[in-house]
Amino acid sequence: MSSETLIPTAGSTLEFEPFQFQQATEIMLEARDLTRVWGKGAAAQTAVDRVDLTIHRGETVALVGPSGSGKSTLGGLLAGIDRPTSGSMVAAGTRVDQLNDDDLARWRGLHVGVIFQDYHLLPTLTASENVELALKLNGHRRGRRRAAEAALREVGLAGKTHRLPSQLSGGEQQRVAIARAVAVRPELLVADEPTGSLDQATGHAVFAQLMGLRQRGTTIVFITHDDELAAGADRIVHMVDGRVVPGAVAS
Amino acid sequence: MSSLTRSIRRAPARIIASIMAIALAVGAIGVFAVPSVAAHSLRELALDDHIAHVAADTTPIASVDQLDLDGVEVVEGRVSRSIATPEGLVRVIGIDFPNQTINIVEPDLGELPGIGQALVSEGLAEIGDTVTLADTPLEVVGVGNTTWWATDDVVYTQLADAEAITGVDGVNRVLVRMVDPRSESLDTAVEDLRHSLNASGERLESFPITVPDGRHPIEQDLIQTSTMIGLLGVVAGIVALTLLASTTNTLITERTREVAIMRSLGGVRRPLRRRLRGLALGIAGAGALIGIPLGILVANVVARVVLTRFTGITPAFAVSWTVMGASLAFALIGARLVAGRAARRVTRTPLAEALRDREGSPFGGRWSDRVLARMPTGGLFERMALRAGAHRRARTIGVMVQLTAGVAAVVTVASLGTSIAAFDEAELEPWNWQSSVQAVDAGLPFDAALAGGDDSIEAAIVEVGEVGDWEVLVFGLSPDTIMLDNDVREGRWLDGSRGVVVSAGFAANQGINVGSDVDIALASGVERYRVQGLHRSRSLDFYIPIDVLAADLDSEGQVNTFWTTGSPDQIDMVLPAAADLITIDELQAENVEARAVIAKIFWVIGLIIVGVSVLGVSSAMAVNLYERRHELAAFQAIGGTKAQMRRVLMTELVPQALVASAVGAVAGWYGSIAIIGFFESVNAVEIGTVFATSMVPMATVAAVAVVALIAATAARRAAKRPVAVVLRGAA
Ligand SMILES: Nc1ncnc2c1ncn2[C@@H]1O[C@H](COP(=O)(O)OP(=O)(O)O)[C@@H](O)[C@H]1O
Ligand SMILES: [Mg+2]
Repeated sequence: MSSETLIPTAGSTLEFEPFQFQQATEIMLEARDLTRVWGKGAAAQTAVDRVDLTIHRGETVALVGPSGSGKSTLGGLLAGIDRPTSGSMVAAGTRVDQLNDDDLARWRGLHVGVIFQDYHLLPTLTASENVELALKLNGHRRGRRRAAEAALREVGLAGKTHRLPSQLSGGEQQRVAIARAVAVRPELLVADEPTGSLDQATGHAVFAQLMGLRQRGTTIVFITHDDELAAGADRIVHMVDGRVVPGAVAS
Repeated sequence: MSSLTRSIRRAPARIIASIMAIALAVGAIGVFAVPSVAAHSLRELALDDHIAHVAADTTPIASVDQLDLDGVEVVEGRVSRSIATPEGLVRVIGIDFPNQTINIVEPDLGELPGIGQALVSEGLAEIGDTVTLADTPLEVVGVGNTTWWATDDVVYTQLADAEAITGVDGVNRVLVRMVDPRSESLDTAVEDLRHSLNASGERLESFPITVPDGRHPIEQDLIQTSTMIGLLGVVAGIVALTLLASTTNTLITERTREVAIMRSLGGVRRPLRRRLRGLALGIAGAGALIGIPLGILVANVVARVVLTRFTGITPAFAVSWTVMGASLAFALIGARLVAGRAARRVTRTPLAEALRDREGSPFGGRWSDRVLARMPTGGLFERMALRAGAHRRARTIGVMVQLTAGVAAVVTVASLGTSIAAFDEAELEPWNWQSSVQAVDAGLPFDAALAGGDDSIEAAIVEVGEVGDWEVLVFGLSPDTIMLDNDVREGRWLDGSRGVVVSAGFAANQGINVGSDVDIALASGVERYRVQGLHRSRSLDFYIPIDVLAADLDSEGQVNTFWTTGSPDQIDMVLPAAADLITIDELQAENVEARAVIAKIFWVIGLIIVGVSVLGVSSAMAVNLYERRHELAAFQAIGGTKAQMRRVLMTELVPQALVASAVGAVAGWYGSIAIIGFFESVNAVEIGTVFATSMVPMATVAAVAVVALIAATAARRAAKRPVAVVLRGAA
């Protein structure tokens, strides 16, 4: 299937930079001294501690490390769903840490797709409507229905577009979440243990679908406990106690 | 209780909001207590003053010793007559001070007067001043009054001085306290008094005032205003009940998952249920504990405003334990009933379901959810709104009921206001006179012939009488009067024969028909008249040909009122007794002023009720939005902005507010009819409901504004918290 089916072109208000594989060295995201402290005073806990991280356009990065090492916190910062306590982050040419709430939301909509372990689909919307909503929130005015159905077809849910989340299995819900995240053609996709709630077979199938996006040049950061999955990434970033430790392995 | 303190620690804002909402609701019910608090204060005063059970104006008699009355505890004679002074009318009352035992006058300042001295009501003069009445100078030695005359300007003197000033030979007012102060006994006393007077060639000059059972005469005048206010307590009660039910229900339902976890760890249903009920009772009890003093305060403040404004009496603090006890019971029993049901439901939810979704049962579980999901009506936001409303239907109904109650309360309060205003207008509407002069003291002191041949002046009799247990106004009118519109609703107008035309509303209430006979108790005794017409007059009026009434009052050719269609100075005759001059414009202005006070009280109560309902809506929505915080965070994670979130919430809430306003307007319509209907039946008066139509759009706008504010606040709050923080609990 050509990637054309996924791109809502007619009437789209978005401008996408054309994907050029050879530009893989272009910087997508650059974090400097990124720090996130949870809590205050005696209870303060530094979940992400002065992290420097550069991710290139089109790169696939696996974020691994022991539980509580700050992977999710870092993922949230990269996806713009959280704000750093200090440090800077430039992504897709924008100083993300300095945006106000609304601009941050818009930036997220335009550039980032997030996938959670618990899917977080809107429970009152059907699979297709969930995807349509993401398109609507990001300024797509026409052709949303078609684009949504195409995205769901791509993840193998062609027959289930009218199901509500409660009528879908976990694996199916996660695939709706992937369709929702990619339908808007984000430049950066952040997935926090996207297969963590699924059994291994389903998890691997869903993961394969996620990895399919690499061909479209999407930059992917995924968090995982599964070494086998991590091995599929271009680069593995290890975290321990909020810090990125050396030992990155190129696949 | 321990679960209560734990809950407060965990979600302080919400629990405290619940407690405050219940407190305000219970406090609003305090409005119920206004009539009883007012009556209680007045009865205390009646006790203090030794208020007369019977007060009668008579022709002058030498002494009350000549009267032959049974069952009397004490009888006292006084002089009472009004005197015109350059500053206005003053009532002169002569008292045998050393022996006064009824309507006791006590000086607030100074002392009781001796010969040549006076005690005056406050504001009339200062101690040390000299007041001159009918050429008699009196030295003011005291300031004070009895509550009987609280609104009058009174000069109290020794009997001898009063006789000299007024020309009354002996005493002309008889005060009686009976051993048995019940109504029937007082009626007998009036009969005895009349016979005893008639036996010595004297008579009653007006229908005596009887005050049974330790009441205060002012109570009768206030009862209407205070019942009307008390009836608003019904509206407050309904709003409070809704709030209590929805708060209790929410409190327990939101613990579904927590209870499920305890159950999965081996918790037994019965003690879990008991704990949930304990929590609800604790919150209702805490709310009631704060609410009851609030209710006592509300009742007393309103009663005080009413009393001081309408009677000049400042009442003491009083508590209606019945109403307070009832509202406590109401809060506890209400909470217990709702909590019992909710707790049973929560402990019965299948474990798997309760544990799976921390946001309650998932959407799609009911067939109606699936039907809605198949209905691609409107845009995405509209679908989300509709389905969210249907999903949390108990919450939606709660919000809508609260809004409905608020709108209904506003519309009802406003309609009571417009109805009273319309009633005041309608009461004066049949009258054509512009100015009236009426004798202040009892009796018919004016010669009807004084009106002379002037067509624009008419003589009339206006007397108080009694029909059944109702105090009514008895008018003696010329059958071809031009002062009152004489078109009747039924039957025919007066023709000079022994007939009476009656206010239609009172007649309907009392089962009086054209052709039946009514007995009217007058000063001279009970007289019977044939009803020949029903008039649109809204008061309790009886119209009788003037000659017939004068004869029945044994005062042929005498009257106590002159009316003119012209200006007051048209009545330039020299009158032999003190008279009160009033124009219809002044009367209207007085009505408007009195209404303004009542309107203010109504609005205060209305605002309390609206406050309760706004609190209820906000707390229900706070819970609703708390439950949906993950959903809202996910919405933001995929790019939703604050404005878009607000739009989704508005799309959900505005239609609810509109529906609630419509239902509230209808409920307010029926509520007003019910309250006024009840009021009409207990007061035997025709008021008529005038619906405050203009209030409906205003209330609707207010309801929409409330939900818009909630939506905006919720969106702002949700946008402030980073998505990652909200979703962490969910991941
Ligand atoms: N929202 C939060 N509030 C408080 N502490 C948090 C929050 N999120 C994460 N933490 C803390 O930060 C640390 C890192 O957590 P997290 O980023 O979730 O680690 P990981 O995803 O690697 O397991 C943990 O100690 C965790 O308790
Ligand atoms: Mg994690």
